[in-house]
Amino acid sequence: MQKKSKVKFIINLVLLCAAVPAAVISGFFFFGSRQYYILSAVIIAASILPFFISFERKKSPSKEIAVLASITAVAVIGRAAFYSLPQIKPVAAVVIVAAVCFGYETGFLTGALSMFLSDIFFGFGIWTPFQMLGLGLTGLICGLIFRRSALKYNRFVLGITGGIVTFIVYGFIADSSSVLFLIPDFSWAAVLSVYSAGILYNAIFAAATAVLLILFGKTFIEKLRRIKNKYGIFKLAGEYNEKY
Amino acid sequence: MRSFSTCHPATNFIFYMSAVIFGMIFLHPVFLCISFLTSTAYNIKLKGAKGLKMLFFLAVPLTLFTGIVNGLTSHYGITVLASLPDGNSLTLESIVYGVVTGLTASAVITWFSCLNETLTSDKILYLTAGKMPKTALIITMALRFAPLYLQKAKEIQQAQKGLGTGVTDGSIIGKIKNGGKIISVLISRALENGIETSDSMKARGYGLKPKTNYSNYVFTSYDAVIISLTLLCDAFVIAGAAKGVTYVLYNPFFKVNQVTAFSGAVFIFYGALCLIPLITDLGEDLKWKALK
Repeated sequence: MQKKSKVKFIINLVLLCAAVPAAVISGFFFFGSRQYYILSAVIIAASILPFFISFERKKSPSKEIAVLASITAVAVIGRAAFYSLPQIKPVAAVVIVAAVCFGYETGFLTGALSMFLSDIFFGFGIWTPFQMLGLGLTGLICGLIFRRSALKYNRFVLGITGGIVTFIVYGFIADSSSVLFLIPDFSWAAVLSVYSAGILYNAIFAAATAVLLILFGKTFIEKLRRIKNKYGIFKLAGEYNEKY
Repeated sequence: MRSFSTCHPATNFIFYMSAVIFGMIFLHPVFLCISFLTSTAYNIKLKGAKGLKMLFFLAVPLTLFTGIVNGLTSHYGITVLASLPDGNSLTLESIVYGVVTGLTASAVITWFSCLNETLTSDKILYLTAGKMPKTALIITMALRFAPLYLQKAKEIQQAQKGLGTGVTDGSIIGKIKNGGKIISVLISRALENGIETSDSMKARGYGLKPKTNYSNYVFTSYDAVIISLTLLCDAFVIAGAAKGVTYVLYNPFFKVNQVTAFSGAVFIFYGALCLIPLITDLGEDLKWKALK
Protein backbone atom coordinates (compact mmCIF):
# COMPACT_ATOMS: atom_id res chain seq x y z
CA MET A 1 0.00 0.00 0.00
CA GLN A 2 1.31 3.46 -0.88
CA LYS A 3 2.13 5.89 1.85
CA LYS A 4 -0.31 8.57 0.72
CA SER A 5 -3.35 6.35 0.71
CA LYS A 6 -2.26 4.95 4.05
CA VAL A 7 -2.24 8.42 5.59
CA LYS A 8 -5.61 9.11 4.01
CA PHE A 9 -6.92 5.86 5.39
CA ILE A 10 -5.73 6.62 8.91
CA ILE A 11 -7.34 10.08 8.74
CA ASN A 12 -10.55 8.43 7.58
CA LEU A 13 -10.44 5.98 10.43
CA VAL A 14 -9.79 8.63 13.07
CA LEU A 15 -12.60 10.80 11.72
CA LEU A 16 -14.87 7.81 11.70
CA CYS A 17 -14.04 6.76 15.23
CA ALA A 18 -14.28 10.24 16.72
CA ALA A 19 -16.92 11.99 14.64
CA VAL A 20 -19.72 9.47 14.78
CA PRO A 21 -20.13 9.17 18.54
CA ALA A 22 -19.36 12.87 18.98
CA ALA A 23 -22.07 13.90 16.56
CA VAL A 24 -24.58 11.50 18.03
CA ILE A 25 -23.90 12.68 21.57
CA SER A 26 -23.93 16.35 20.61
CA GLY A 27 -27.19 15.68 18.78
CA PHE A 28 -28.64 14.28 21.99
CA PHE A 29 -27.62 17.22 24.10
CA PHE A 30 -27.81 20.25 21.83
CA PHE A 31 -30.50 19.57 19.31
CA GLY A 32 -32.98 18.39 21.87
CA SER A 33 -35.65 17.42 19.41
CA ARG A 34 -35.27 14.56 16.95
CA GLN A 35 -32.75 16.12 14.58
CA TYR A 36 -30.09 13.89 16.09
CA TYR A 37 -31.52 10.97 14.22
CA ILE A 38 -31.10 12.59 10.82
CA LEU A 39 -27.69 13.83 11.90
CA SER A 40 -26.45 10.41 12.91
CA ALA A 41 -27.87 8.71 9.81
CA VAL A 42 -26.13 11.28 7.62
CA ILE A 43 -22.86 10.82 9.49
CA ILE A 44 -23.09 7.06 9.19
CA ALA A 45 -23.77 7.26 5.47
CA ALA A 46 -20.89 9.70 5.14
CA SER A 47 -18.56 7.35 6.96
CA ILE A 48 -19.45 4.41 4.71
CA LEU A 49 -18.96 6.39 1.51
CA PRO A 50 -15.16 7.00 1.66
CA PHE A 51 -14.51 3.28 1.43
CA PHE A 52 -16.67 2.93 -1.64
CA ILE A 53 -15.17 6.04 -3.23
CA SER A 54 -11.63 4.77 -2.74
CA PHE A 55 -12.75 1.43 -4.15
CA GLU A 56 -14.22 3.17 -7.20
CA ARG A 57 -10.99 5.06 -7.80
CA LYS A 58 -8.77 2.02 -7.49
CA LYS A 59 -8.10 -0.08 -10.53
CA SER A 60 -9.24 -3.61 -9.84
CA PRO A 61 -8.93 -6.58 -12.19
CA SER A 62 -12.03 -8.49 -13.18
CA LYS A 63 -10.99 -11.41 -10.98
CA GLU A 64 -11.09 -9.28 -7.85
CA ILE A 65 -14.54 -7.95 -8.75
CA ALA A 66 -15.91 -11.42 -9.41
CA VAL A 67 -14.40 -12.97 -6.28
CA LEU A 68 -15.64 -10.06 -4.16
CA ALA A 69 -19.13 -10.49 -5.59
CA SER A 70 -18.97 -14.25 -4.97
CA ILE A 71 -17.91 -13.98 -1.35
CA THR A 72 -20.53 -11.28 -0.77
CA ALA A 73 -23.21 -13.55 -2.20
CA VAL A 74 -22.09 -16.35 0.13
CA ALA A 75 -22.33 -13.96 3.07
CA VAL A 76 -25.83 -12.91 1.97
CA ILE A 77 -26.90 -16.54 1.86
CA GLY A 78 -25.36 -16.91 5.28
CA ARG A 79 -27.79 -14.29 6.52
CA ALA A 80 -30.82 -15.66 4.72
CA ALA A 81 -32.78 -18.29 6.58
CA PHE A 82 -30.31 -21.12 6.38
CA TYR A 83 -30.17 -22.51 9.84
CA SER A 84 -32.88 -24.06 11.90
CA LEU A 85 -31.86 -21.88 14.84
CA PRO A 86 -32.38 -18.14 14.97
CA GLN A 87 -29.40 -15.77 15.11
CA ILE A 88 -26.99 -18.60 14.26
CA LYS A 89 -25.92 -17.15 10.97
CA PRO A 90 -22.52 -17.49 9.36
CA VAL A 91 -22.58 -14.05 7.72
CA ALA A 92 -20.08 -12.48 10.13
CA ALA A 93 -17.78 -15.49 9.93
CA VAL A 94 -17.62 -15.26 6.13
CA VAL A 95 -16.99 -11.51 6.28
CA ILE A 96 -14.23 -11.92 8.87
CA VAL A 97 -12.50 -14.61 6.83
CA ALA A 98 -12.71 -12.44 3.70
CA ALA A 99 -11.25 -9.52 5.66
CA VAL A 100 -8.43 -11.62 7.07
CA CYS A 101 -7.45 -13.02 3.67
CA PHE A 102 -8.21 -10.23 1.23
CA GLY A 103 -7.39 -7.24 3.42
CA TYR A 104 -9.32 -4.89 5.65
CA GLU A 105 -10.69 -2.68 2.88
CA THR A 106 -12.15 -5.70 1.13
CA GLY A 107 -13.48 -6.82 4.50
CA PHE A 108 -15.31 -3.54 4.96
CA LEU A 109 -16.78 -3.71 1.45
CA THR A 110 -17.89 -7.32 1.91
CA GLY A 111 -19.54 -6.60 5.23
CA ALA A 112 -21.30 -3.43 4.13
CA LEU A 113 -22.41 -4.83 0.78
CA SER A 114 -23.68 -8.10 2.20
CA MET A 115 -25.92 -6.20 4.64
CA PHE A 116 -27.11 -3.89 1.85
CA LEU A 117 -27.85 -6.82 -0.45
CA SER A 118 -29.62 -8.92 2.12
CA ASP A 119 -31.80 -5.90 2.87
CA ILE A 120 -32.78 -5.91 -0.81
CA PHE A 121 -34.24 -9.33 -0.05
CA PHE A 122 -35.50 -8.68 3.48
CA GLY A 123 -36.53 -5.07 3.09
CA PHE A 124 -34.79 -1.76 3.68
CA GLY A 125 -35.29 0.17 6.83
CA ILE A 126 -33.83 2.83 8.98
CA TRP A 127 -31.49 0.14 10.30
CA THR A 128 -29.79 -0.52 6.94
CA PRO A 129 -26.96 2.06 7.21
CA PHE A 130 -26.32 1.00 10.81
CA GLN A 131 -26.05 -2.66 9.90
CA MET A 132 -23.83 -1.83 6.93
CA LEU A 133 -21.46 0.19 9.08
CA GLY A 134 -21.58 -2.42 11.86
CA LEU A 135 -20.63 -5.43 9.81
CA GLY A 136 -18.28 -3.39 7.63
CA LEU A 137 -16.37 -2.23 10.70
CA THR A 138 -16.35 -5.77 12.08
CA GLY A 139 -14.60 -6.89 8.90
CA LEU A 140 -12.29 -3.90 8.89
CA ILE A 141 -11.18 -4.34 12.50
CA CYS A 142 -10.59 -8.09 12.13
CA GLY A 143 -8.69 -7.43 8.90
CA LEU A 144 -6.49 -4.89 10.68
CA ILE A 145 -5.87 -7.14 13.69
CA PHE A 146 -4.71 -10.08 11.60
CA ARG A 147 -3.10 -8.03 8.85
CA ARG A 148 0.48 -9.07 9.23
CA SER A 149 0.17 -11.80 11.77
CA ALA A 150 0.33 -15.53 11.46
CA LEU A 151 -2.06 -15.77 14.40
CA LYS A 152 -4.99 -16.03 12.02
CA TYR A 153 -4.00 -19.64 11.45
CA ASN A 154 -4.58 -20.31 15.13
CA ARG A 155 -8.22 -21.29 15.19
CA PHE A 156 -8.87 -20.26 18.77
CA VAL A 157 -7.28 -16.84 18.50
CA LEU A 158 -9.22 -16.16 15.29
CA GLY A 159 -12.48 -17.49 16.64
CA ILE A 160 -12.41 -15.69 19.97
CA THR A 161 -11.23 -12.40 18.49
CA GLY A 162 -13.87 -12.63 15.77
CA GLY A 163 -16.59 -13.35 18.30
CA ILE A 164 -15.59 -10.48 20.57
CA VAL A 165 -15.35 -7.98 17.71
CA THR A 166 -18.72 -9.10 16.34
CA PHE A 167 -20.32 -8.78 19.75
CA ILE A 168 -18.94 -5.35 20.56
CA VAL A 169 -18.82 -3.63 17.18
CA TYR A 170 -21.74 -5.13 15.28
CA GLY A 171 -23.97 -5.52 18.32
CA PHE A 172 -23.39 -1.97 19.50
CA ILE A 173 -23.81 -0.27 16.13
CA ALA A 174 -26.81 -2.33 15.00
CA ASP A 175 -28.59 -1.76 18.32
CA SER A 176 -27.86 1.95 18.15
CA SER A 177 -30.48 2.28 15.43
CA SER A 178 -33.17 1.05 17.81
CA VAL A 179 -31.81 3.21 20.62
CA LEU A 180 -32.01 6.30 18.45
CA PHE A 181 -35.33 5.37 16.97
CA LEU A 182 -37.36 4.06 19.89
CA ILE A 183 -36.25 6.22 22.77
CA PRO A 184 -38.24 9.43 22.98
CA ASP A 185 -35.93 11.21 25.36
CA PHE A 186 -32.37 10.61 26.26
CA SER A 187 -31.88 8.90 29.59
CA TRP A 188 -29.18 6.43 30.48
CA ALA A 189 -31.70 4.00 31.96
CA ALA A 190 -33.74 3.87 28.76
CA VAL A 191 -30.63 3.54 26.58
CA LEU A 192 -29.32 0.73 28.75
CA SER A 193 -32.66 -1.07 28.64
CA VAL A 194 -32.70 -1.10 24.83
CA TYR A 195 -29.10 -2.27 24.62
CA SER A 196 -29.66 -4.97 27.21
CA ALA A 197 -32.77 -6.17 25.36
CA GLY A 198 -30.55 -6.86 22.35
CA ILE A 199 -27.67 -8.34 24.30
CA LEU A 200 -28.91 -11.93 24.24
CA TYR A 201 -29.35 -11.96 20.47
CA ASN A 202 -25.98 -10.36 19.95
CA ALA A 203 -24.36 -12.84 22.31
CA ILE A 204 -25.84 -15.79 20.42
CA PHE A 205 -24.80 -14.26 17.09
CA ALA A 206 -21.27 -13.63 18.34
CA ALA A 207 -20.96 -17.05 19.96
CA ALA A 208 -22.12 -18.77 16.76
CA THR A 209 -19.58 -16.73 14.80
CA ALA A 210 -16.84 -17.73 17.22
CA VAL A 211 -17.78 -21.42 17.09
CA LEU A 212 -17.92 -21.36 13.29
CA LEU A 213 -14.53 -19.68 13.08
CA ILE A 214 -13.01 -22.13 15.55
CA LEU A 215 -14.39 -25.10 13.65
CA PHE A 216 -14.03 -23.87 10.07
CA GLY A 217 -11.96 -20.67 10.09
CA LYS A 218 -8.79 -22.43 9.03
CA THR A 219 -10.53 -24.31 6.21
CA PHE A 220 -12.17 -21.13 4.92
CA ILE A 221 -8.88 -19.24 5.08
CA GLU A 222 -7.02 -21.91 3.18
CA LYS A 223 -9.62 -21.90 0.44
CA LEU A 224 -9.49 -18.15 0.05
CA ARG A 225 -5.71 -18.04 0.23
CA ARG A 226 -5.40 -20.69 -2.44
CA ILE A 227 -7.45 -18.58 -4.87
CA LYS A 228 -5.49 -15.51 -3.87
CA ASN A 229 -2.10 -17.08 -4.49
CA LYS A 230 -3.13 -18.98 -7.59
CA TYR A 231 -4.50 -15.98 -9.45
CA GLY A 232 -2.46 -13.27 -7.77
CA ILE A 233 -5.40 -11.15 -6.71
CA PHE A 234 -5.72 -8.75 -3.75
CA LYS A 235 -1.97 -8.29 -3.69
CA LEU A 236 -2.22 -4.93 -1.95
CA ALA A 237 -3.90 -6.52 1.01
CA GLY A 238 -0.70 -6.33 3.06
CA GLU A 239 -0.35 -10.05 3.49
CA TYR A 240 2.00 -11.71 5.89
CA ASN A 241 4.66 -13.51 3.88
CA GLU A 242 3.19 -16.92 3.23
CA LYS A 243 4.87 -20.25 3.47
CA TYR A 244 2.25 -22.44 1.98
CA MET B 1 -52.01 8.57 -15.00
CA ARG B 2 -49.48 5.86 -14.37
CA SER B 3 -48.99 3.99 -11.13
CA PHE B 4 -46.23 5.25 -8.85
CA SER B 5 -44.21 2.05 -9.09
CA THR B 6 -43.79 2.45 -12.87
CA CYS B 7 -42.31 5.92 -12.48
CA HIS B 8 -38.66 6.76 -13.00
CA PRO B 9 -36.40 5.67 -10.06
CA ALA B 10 -35.43 9.28 -9.36
CA THR B 11 -39.10 10.21 -8.95
CA ASN B 12 -39.63 7.44 -6.43
CA PHE B 13 -36.38 8.18 -4.62
CA ILE B 14 -37.05 11.91 -4.18
CA PHE B 15 -40.54 11.20 -2.88
CA TYR B 16 -39.45 8.60 -0.35
CA MET B 17 -36.54 10.74 0.86
CA SER B 18 -38.97 13.59 1.59
CA ALA B 19 -41.58 11.33 3.16
CA VAL B 20 -39.12 9.53 5.45
CA ILE B 21 -37.16 12.60 6.55
CA PHE B 22 -40.27 14.69 7.22
CA GLY B 23 -41.94 11.73 8.89
CA MET B 24 -38.97 11.36 11.21
CA ILE B 25 -38.43 14.97 12.29
CA PHE B 26 -41.94 16.43 12.53
CA LEU B 27 -43.60 15.54 15.80
CA HIS B 28 -46.50 17.95 15.41
CA PRO B 29 -49.71 15.92 15.89
CA VAL B 30 -51.27 16.99 12.57
CA PHE B 31 -48.14 16.13 10.60
CA LEU B 32 -47.82 12.88 12.49
CA CYS B 33 -51.39 11.81 11.72
CA ILE B 34 -51.03 12.76 8.04
CA SER B 35 -47.80 10.79 7.73
CA PHE B 36 -49.13 7.75 9.59
CA LEU B 37 -52.51 7.59 7.85
CA THR B 38 -51.24 8.15 4.31
CA SER B 39 -48.38 5.68 4.66
CA THR B 40 -50.73 3.04 6.08
CA ALA B 41 -53.30 3.67 3.35
CA TYR B 42 -50.70 3.40 0.60
CA ASN B 43 -49.24 0.28 2.20
CA ILE B 44 -52.69 -1.34 2.27
CA LYS B 45 -53.26 -0.26 -1.34
CA LEU B 46 -49.97 -1.90 -2.34
CA LYS B 47 -50.08 -5.05 -0.25
CA GLY B 48 -53.70 -5.64 0.65
CA ALA B 49 -54.11 -7.96 3.60
CA LYS B 50 -50.38 -7.84 4.35
CA GLY B 51 -50.64 -4.09 4.83
CA LEU B 52 -53.50 -4.52 7.28
CA LYS B 53 -51.49 -7.14 9.12
CA MET B 54 -48.61 -4.69 9.43
CA LEU B 55 -50.96 -2.08 10.89
CA PHE B 56 -52.39 -4.39 13.57
CA PHE B 57 -49.38 -6.51 14.40
CA LEU B 58 -46.62 -3.93 14.11
CA ALA B 59 -47.83 -0.33 14.29
CA VAL B 60 -50.44 -0.68 17.03
CA PRO B 61 -48.35 -2.85 19.41
CA LEU B 62 -45.28 -0.67 18.85
CA THR B 63 -47.21 2.49 19.66
CA LEU B 64 -48.74 0.93 22.78
CA PHE B 65 -45.36 -0.39 23.86
CA THR B 66 -43.54 2.94 23.57
CA GLY B 67 -46.46 4.70 25.26
CA ILE B 68 -46.41 2.37 28.24
CA VAL B 69 -42.63 2.24 28.54
CA ASN B 70 -42.23 6.00 28.34
CA GLY B 71 -45.06 6.49 30.80
CA LEU B 72 -43.37 4.17 33.28
CA THR B 73 -39.79 5.41 32.85
CA SER B 74 -40.14 9.16 32.30
CA HIS B 75 -41.90 11.31 34.86
CA TYR B 76 -41.93 14.82 33.42
CA GLY B 77 -45.12 16.67 32.70
CA ILE B 78 -47.60 18.62 34.79
CA THR B 79 -50.76 16.51 34.38
CA VAL B 80 -50.35 13.79 37.00
CA LEU B 81 -52.65 10.83 36.45
CA ALA B 82 -51.57 8.52 39.24
CA SER B 83 -48.58 7.78 41.38
CA LEU B 84 -46.48 4.73 40.74
CA PRO B 85 -45.42 2.24 43.46
CA ASP B 86 -41.81 3.53 43.28
CA GLY B 87 -42.94 7.01 44.32
CA ASN B 88 -42.73 8.63 40.87
CA SER B 89 -45.80 9.96 39.16
CA LEU B 90 -47.47 8.74 36.02
CA THR B 91 -48.06 11.75 33.79
CA LEU B 92 -50.19 12.29 30.72
CA GLU B 93 -47.37 14.10 28.89
CA SER B 94 -44.90 11.25 29.14
CA ILE B 95 -47.49 8.73 27.88
CA VAL B 96 -48.43 11.03 24.99
CA TYR B 97 -44.80 11.53 24.07
CA GLY B 98 -44.22 7.77 24.08
CA VAL B 99 -47.22 7.31 21.79
CA VAL B 100 -45.88 10.05 19.52
CA THR B 101 -42.54 8.27 19.28
CA GLY B 102 -44.25 4.97 18.50
CA LEU B 103 -46.42 6.57 15.81
CA THR B 104 -43.40 8.23 14.21
CA ALA B 105 -41.52 4.94 14.17
CA SER B 106 -44.55 3.11 12.75
CA ALA B 107 -45.05 5.71 10.02
CA VAL B 108 -41.41 5.55 8.97
CA ILE B 109 -41.39 1.75 9.01
CA THR B 110 -44.56 1.75 6.89
CA TRP B 111 -42.97 4.20 4.42
CA PHE B 112 -40.02 1.86 4.15
CA SER B 113 -42.39 -1.03 3.57
CA CYS B 114 -43.92 0.90 0.64
CA LEU B 115 -40.42 1.76 -0.57
CA ASN B 116 -39.46 -1.90 -0.66
CA GLU B 117 -42.51 -2.59 -2.78
CA THR B 118 -41.96 0.18 -5.32
CA LEU B 119 -38.21 0.88 -5.37
CA THR B 120 -37.12 -2.53 -6.64
CA SER B 121 -33.54 -3.77 -6.84
CA ASP B 122 -33.12 -2.81 -10.50
CA LYS B 123 -34.19 0.72 -9.67
CA ILE B 124 -31.65 0.86 -6.85
CA LEU B 125 -29.00 -0.36 -9.28
CA TYR B 126 -30.00 2.33 -11.76
CA LEU B 127 -29.59 4.96 -9.05
CA THR B 128 -26.13 3.71 -8.00
CA ALA B 129 -24.76 2.88 -11.47
CA GLY B 130 -24.23 6.49 -12.53
CA LYS B 131 -21.86 7.59 -9.77
CA MET B 132 -20.48 4.24 -8.59
CA PRO B 133 -20.24 1.88 -11.56
CA LYS B 134 -17.97 -0.67 -9.87
CA THR B 135 -20.12 -0.97 -6.76
CA ALA B 136 -23.19 -1.31 -8.96
CA LEU B 137 -21.42 -4.05 -10.93
CA ILE B 138 -20.67 -5.97 -7.74
CA ILE B 139 -24.25 -5.56 -6.54
CA THR B 140 -25.56 -6.82 -9.89
CA MET B 141 -23.27 -9.84 -9.85
CA ALA B 142 -24.03 -10.68 -6.24
CA LEU B 143 -27.75 -10.34 -6.90
CA ARG B 144 -27.38 -12.97 -9.57
CA PHE B 145 -25.03 -15.14 -7.51
CA ALA B 146 -27.17 -15.20 -4.37
CA PRO B 147 -30.10 -17.23 -5.81
CA LEU B 148 -27.64 -19.41 -7.73
CA TYR B 149 -25.64 -20.22 -4.63
CA LEU B 150 -28.80 -20.72 -2.61
CA GLN B 151 -29.78 -23.37 -5.14
CA LYS B 152 -26.33 -24.94 -4.82
CA ALA B 153 -26.55 -24.74 -1.02
CA LYS B 154 -29.81 -26.64 -1.16
CA GLU B 155 -28.18 -29.33 -3.31
CA ILE B 156 -25.28 -29.60 -0.88
CA GLN B 157 -27.69 -29.71 2.04
CA GLN B 158 -29.61 -32.56 0.44
CA ALA B 159 -26.44 -34.53 -0.17
CA GLN B 160 -25.37 -33.94 3.42
CA LYS B 161 -28.76 -34.96 4.69
CA GLY B 162 -28.42 -38.24 2.81
CA LEU B 163 -25.22 -38.79 4.76
CA GLY B 164 -26.99 -37.98 8.03
CA THR B 165 -25.22 -34.64 8.55
CA GLY B 166 -27.85 -32.14 7.40
CA VAL B 167 -28.40 -28.81 9.19
CA THR B 168 -31.32 -30.26 11.12
CA ASP B 169 -29.38 -33.18 12.54
CA GLY B 170 -27.60 -33.34 15.85
CA SER B 171 -27.19 -31.04 18.84
CA ILE B 172 -26.63 -27.28 18.62
CA ILE B 173 -22.90 -27.69 18.07
CA GLY B 174 -23.66 -30.47 15.60
CA LYS B 175 -26.02 -28.19 13.68
CA ILE B 176 -23.44 -25.43 13.55
CA LYS B 177 -20.85 -27.94 12.40
CA ASN B 178 -23.06 -29.32 9.65
CA GLY B 179 -24.12 -25.83 8.57
CA GLY B 180 -20.51 -24.70 8.50
CA LYS B 181 -19.63 -27.64 6.30
CA ILE B 182 -22.23 -26.54 3.79
CA ILE B 183 -20.85 -22.99 3.81
CA SER B 184 -17.37 -24.41 3.39
CA VAL B 185 -18.34 -26.43 0.31
CA LEU B 186 -20.26 -23.43 -0.97
CA ILE B 187 -17.20 -21.16 -0.64
CA SER B 188 -15.17 -23.52 -2.84
CA ARG B 189 -17.81 -23.60 -5.51
CA ALA B 190 -18.46 -19.87 -5.28
CA LEU B 191 -14.79 -18.97 -5.67
CA GLU B 192 -14.35 -21.22 -8.69
CA ASN B 193 -17.52 -19.79 -10.17
CA GLY B 194 -16.23 -16.28 -9.55
CA ILE B 195 -12.98 -16.99 -11.37
CA GLU B 196 -14.88 -18.44 -14.33
CA THR B 197 -17.15 -15.41 -14.42
CA SER B 198 -14.17 -13.10 -14.40
CA ASP B 199 -12.69 -14.86 -17.45
CA SER B 200 -15.98 -14.36 -19.19
CA MET B 201 -16.01 -10.69 -18.16
CA LYS B 202 -12.54 -10.20 -19.55
CA ALA B 203 -13.51 -11.88 -22.83
CA ARG B 204 -16.35 -9.41 -23.15
CA GLY B 205 -14.15 -6.41 -22.69
CA TYR B 206 -14.22 -5.56 -18.98
CA GLY B 207 -11.80 -2.76 -18.20
CA LEU B 208 -11.77 -1.25 -21.69
CA LYS B 209 -12.46 2.45 -21.83
CA PRO B 210 -15.70 3.22 -23.67
CA LYS B 211 -18.34 1.73 -21.45
CA THR B 212 -21.98 2.68 -21.08
CA ASN B 213 -24.79 1.57 -18.82
CA TYR B 214 -27.96 0.20 -20.23
CA SER B 215 -31.07 1.29 -18.47
CA ASN B 216 -34.67 0.56 -19.04
CA TYR B 217 -35.98 3.78 -17.53
CA VAL B 218 -37.12 6.79 -19.49
CA PHE B 219 -37.67 10.11 -17.80
CA THR B 220 -41.03 11.26 -19.13
CA SER B 221 -42.92 14.51 -18.77
CA TYR B 222 -45.16 12.68 -16.28
CA ASP B 223 -42.11 12.11 -14.05
CA ALA B 224 -41.22 15.77 -14.41
CA VAL B 225 -44.70 16.75 -13.23
CA ILE B 226 -44.56 14.42 -10.22
CA ILE B 227 -41.06 15.55 -9.24
CA SER B 228 -42.00 19.22 -9.49
CA LEU B 229 -45.11 18.61 -7.41
CA THR B 230 -43.02 16.80 -4.80
CA LEU B 231 -40.44 19.57 -4.69
CA LEU B 232 -43.12 22.27 -4.56
CA CYS B 233 -44.75 20.60 -1.56
CA ASP B 234 -41.31 20.10 0.01
CA ALA B 235 -40.57 23.79 -0.36
CA PHE B 236 -43.86 24.76 1.25
CA VAL B 237 -43.40 22.35 4.14
CA ILE B 238 -39.84 23.55 4.74
CA ALA B 239 -41.01 27.16 4.63
CA GLY B 240 -43.72 26.24 7.12
CA ALA B 241 -41.20 24.55 9.38
CA ALA B 242 -38.97 27.62 9.21
CA LYS B 243 -41.94 29.79 10.23
CA GLY B 244 -42.64 27.56 13.22
CA VAL B 245 -45.75 25.76 11.98
CA THR B 246 -44.28 22.43 13.02
CA TYR B 247 -43.32 23.68 16.49
CA VAL B 248 -44.62 21.44 19.24
CA LEU B 249 -43.79 21.04 22.90
CA TYR B 250 -44.59 17.89 24.86
CA ASN B 251 -42.48 18.51 27.92
CA PRO B 252 -43.41 19.80 30.50
CA PHE B 253 -46.81 20.57 28.93
CA PHE B 254 -48.39 20.18 25.52
CA LYS B 255 -48.20 23.27 23.33
CA VAL B 256 -48.54 23.99 19.62
CA ASN B 257 -48.68 27.27 17.75
CA GLN B 258 -52.01 28.81 16.85
CA VAL B 259 -53.52 27.43 13.64
CA THR B 260 -53.61 30.20 11.04
CA ALA B 261 -54.47 30.28 7.35
CA PHE B 262 -50.79 29.83 6.55
CA SER B 263 -50.35 26.80 8.79
CA GLY B 264 -53.56 25.32 7.34
CA ALA B 265 -52.05 25.70 3.88
CA VAL B 266 -48.87 23.97 5.05
CA PHE B 267 -50.92 21.07 6.44
CA ILE B 268 -52.70 20.75 3.08
CA PHE B 269 -49.40 20.79 1.19
CA TYR B 270 -47.95 18.13 3.49
CA GLY B 271 -51.07 16.02 2.97
CA ALA B 272 -50.78 16.48 -0.78
CA LEU B 273 -47.14 15.44 -0.67
CA CYS B 274 -47.89 12.25 1.25
CA LEU B 275 -50.86 11.43 -0.99
CA ILE B 276 -48.91 11.65 -4.28
CA PRO B 277 -48.31 7.87 -4.67
CA LEU B 278 -51.80 6.95 -3.55
CA ILE B 279 -53.43 9.42 -5.95
CA THR B 280 -51.33 8.30 -8.92
CA ASP B 281 -52.16 4.65 -8.21
CA LEU B 282 -55.87 5.29 -7.73
CA GLY B 283 -55.86 7.43 -10.89
CA GLU B 284 -54.41 4.55 -12.82
CA ASP B 285 -57.07 2.20 -11.44
CA LEU B 286 -59.81 4.62 -12.53
CA LYS B 287 -58.29 4.94 -15.98
CA TRP B 288 -58.11 1.17 -16.27
CA LYS B 289 -61.75 0.83 -15.32
CA ALA B 290 -62.79 3.59 -17.73
CA LEU B 291 -60.92 1.93 -20.59
CA LYS B 292 -62.44 -1.47 -19.85
